[in-house]
Amino acid sequence: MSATKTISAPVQSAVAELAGELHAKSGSEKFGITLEGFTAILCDVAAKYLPETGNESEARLFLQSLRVEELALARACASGDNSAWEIFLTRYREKLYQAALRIAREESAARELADGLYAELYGVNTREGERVSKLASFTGRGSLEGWLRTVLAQEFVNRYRRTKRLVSLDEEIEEGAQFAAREPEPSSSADSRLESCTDEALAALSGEDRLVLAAYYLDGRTLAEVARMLGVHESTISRKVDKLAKSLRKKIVAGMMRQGVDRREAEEALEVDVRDLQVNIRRSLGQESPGAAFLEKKDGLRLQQKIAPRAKS
Amino acid sequence: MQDVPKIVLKRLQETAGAEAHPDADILAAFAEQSLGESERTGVMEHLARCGDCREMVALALPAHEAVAVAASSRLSRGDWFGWPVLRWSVAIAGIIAIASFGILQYRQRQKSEILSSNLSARNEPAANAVQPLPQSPVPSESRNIILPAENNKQAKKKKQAELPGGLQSSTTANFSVAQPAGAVNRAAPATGAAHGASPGAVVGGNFALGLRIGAGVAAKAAPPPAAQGELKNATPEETSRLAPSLLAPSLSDRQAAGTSSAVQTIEAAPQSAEVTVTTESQTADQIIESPKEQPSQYQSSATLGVVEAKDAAAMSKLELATPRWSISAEGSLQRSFDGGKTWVEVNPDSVAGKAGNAHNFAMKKKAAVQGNPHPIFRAVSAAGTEVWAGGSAAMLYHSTDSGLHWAHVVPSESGVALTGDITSVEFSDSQHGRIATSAGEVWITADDGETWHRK
Repeated sequence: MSATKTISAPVQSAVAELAGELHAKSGSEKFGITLEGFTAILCDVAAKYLPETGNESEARLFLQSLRVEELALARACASGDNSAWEIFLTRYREKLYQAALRIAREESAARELADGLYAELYGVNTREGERVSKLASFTGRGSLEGWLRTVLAQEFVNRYRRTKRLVSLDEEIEEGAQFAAREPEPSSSADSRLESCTDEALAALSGEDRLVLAAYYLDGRTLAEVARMLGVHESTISRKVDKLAKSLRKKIVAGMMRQGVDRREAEEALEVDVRDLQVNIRRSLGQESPGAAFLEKKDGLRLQQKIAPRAKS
Repeated sequence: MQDVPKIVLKRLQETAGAEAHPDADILAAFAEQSLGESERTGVMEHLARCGDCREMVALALPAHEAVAVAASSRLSRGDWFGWPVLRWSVAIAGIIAIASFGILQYRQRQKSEILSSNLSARNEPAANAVQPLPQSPVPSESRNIILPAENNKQAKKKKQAELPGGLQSSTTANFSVAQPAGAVNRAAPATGAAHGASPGAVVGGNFALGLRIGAGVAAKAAPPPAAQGELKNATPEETSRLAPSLLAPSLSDRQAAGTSSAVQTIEAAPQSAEVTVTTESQTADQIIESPKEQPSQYQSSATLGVVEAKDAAAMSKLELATPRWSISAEGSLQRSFDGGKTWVEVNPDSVAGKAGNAHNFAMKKKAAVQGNPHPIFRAVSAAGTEVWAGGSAAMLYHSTDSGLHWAHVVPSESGVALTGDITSVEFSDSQHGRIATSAGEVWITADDGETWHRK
């Protein structure tokens, strides 16, 4: 696959240095992967992730962080080794179905999802008469189990993308004209200033902060889910969301005031657009995240809950 | 939960870029926190913009609760009550029971031995020891005796109450010394309980130790045969180890447990010995003014000898252990060599002053009596052996050797000096520091306090 890519000399020497040790550690021997074969796999992985300019110590750390045992297993499965495949099945079959069930949330869809992936993992697709397994693309950066779950999620999201049009049409029919109506784009100068100030305030945040905001407010993830995505405690996320929401508001108002809008006006500008935006979000979610169909209601609900008291006042 | 302005949501979702999505390996590694820092930042940046990938990561999260529940139910069924676990827990429980019983016994025996050894050791060998020891000048002895008082501000009152009484009521000095030692020992747990981190208890221990060393030396001067053999062959370092072990029966529990705290007290001793006394210790005054207490003075001069012999060993240990620093509720500077278990007060003012003559001594004592017993510290910052401590009235001290020697520092820039109380001292490394004052000034140095810059 990425065999055509070249790797730099320092990376190559790091691979050569560690290949023996990692080969032994991975237990590739029992799947019939020779040292040469394993070195080629390592080169393949290194070529994919290490930059051309990578230095040797960096490359060494990278190689040592790989899950070589699972990498060897996956590659052995991909190349059609039966003992490897058996091990894979005993270890991951059940987990795969459970994960599919969690993702699809429904028995038959889950089975379909998992079976579809199985086929790809085993490699029914043939390219020039050769069986190509999806497992050959596993690189050992994370655990094999995590990779399987991610691939399932990917598959699921893609499937949704394919069927999205149908789903949103259904919803449109169900919910009437609400979706069809196109909102006039707000275009007053105050709005453009508001937008630029907002963009500025958002740009000043770290990627992590924006990720938290987007996952919580846009995707409607729970605090616990966001926390697990980032590997931190739920209360940390809770504090962070609170802090971010407060500081963003403050920053936007400050930015607007710098541009000559007075405070009251700036604060009012932050509160307008409630319904428009709600619809906008729905539409954009529908466009951008195909999995949003089942999130939409939840998300809309949360927005409405949040908006309701404000709208009353 | 705080909500965000709608415009924020709108702009958040409109920043989606058209870049390549990270592959499943990277996303899986991200969710497992096994990416490197830069890669992780890149992925988060992408996730912040890309709803699809966020969704994938969220969907691919492992079944956290399910796993935990399954694991715990499996454990509770078999493993915890299985034979292997039970076997080991029984063995461990047994060991713990025996150990705690042993410790209990050891402590009880120690306590009784402290008293008995205090009395017997001083009454017999110490009395003999008085003869061969030379008469030493009064000032040096008084300093040594002051030592405990110097370190002992917490337990001062107690001591003042008990020590003079002991000195006056007894007929021989040996006995009089033994008496307060016992008293302080008994007082130690009480003060320890009262002060939480128990500086009082340590100080009590210090005081006791100072006297114990006296006993040790006395034993050295007229020792029992076995002990003599040991001591003669011992190098200075060994002496410092042997001496505590000789004294072990009379040491308080804490000090018997490890030599580190013993070393710590010994370390404090030579310092204080040079120092003119700033505390208005009534006890000290009484001892100074009572030259008739000859035998106790002999003992203390002997103490000085031992302390000096131990100095080298103590110093080498000191270099190994980087102390922790803190400010007590009363605003005095405290240092701990055992990770915060015990704290000893350090007074940079007295060490920095370092004027050994009697005049200065008297002056300082006077000043102390007039109502500035010790400075109030507000902040301390330590990086390795570098220590900076600041407090009321622009007081700032700097030590480069974990508090052995102090220098008084007055930050100034173009002739204007720092004023007001120092409220915070932060040194990020040995060179770069930042001081905030109650006047709202911030002083910064980038060269270990050589020059200062005011903001």
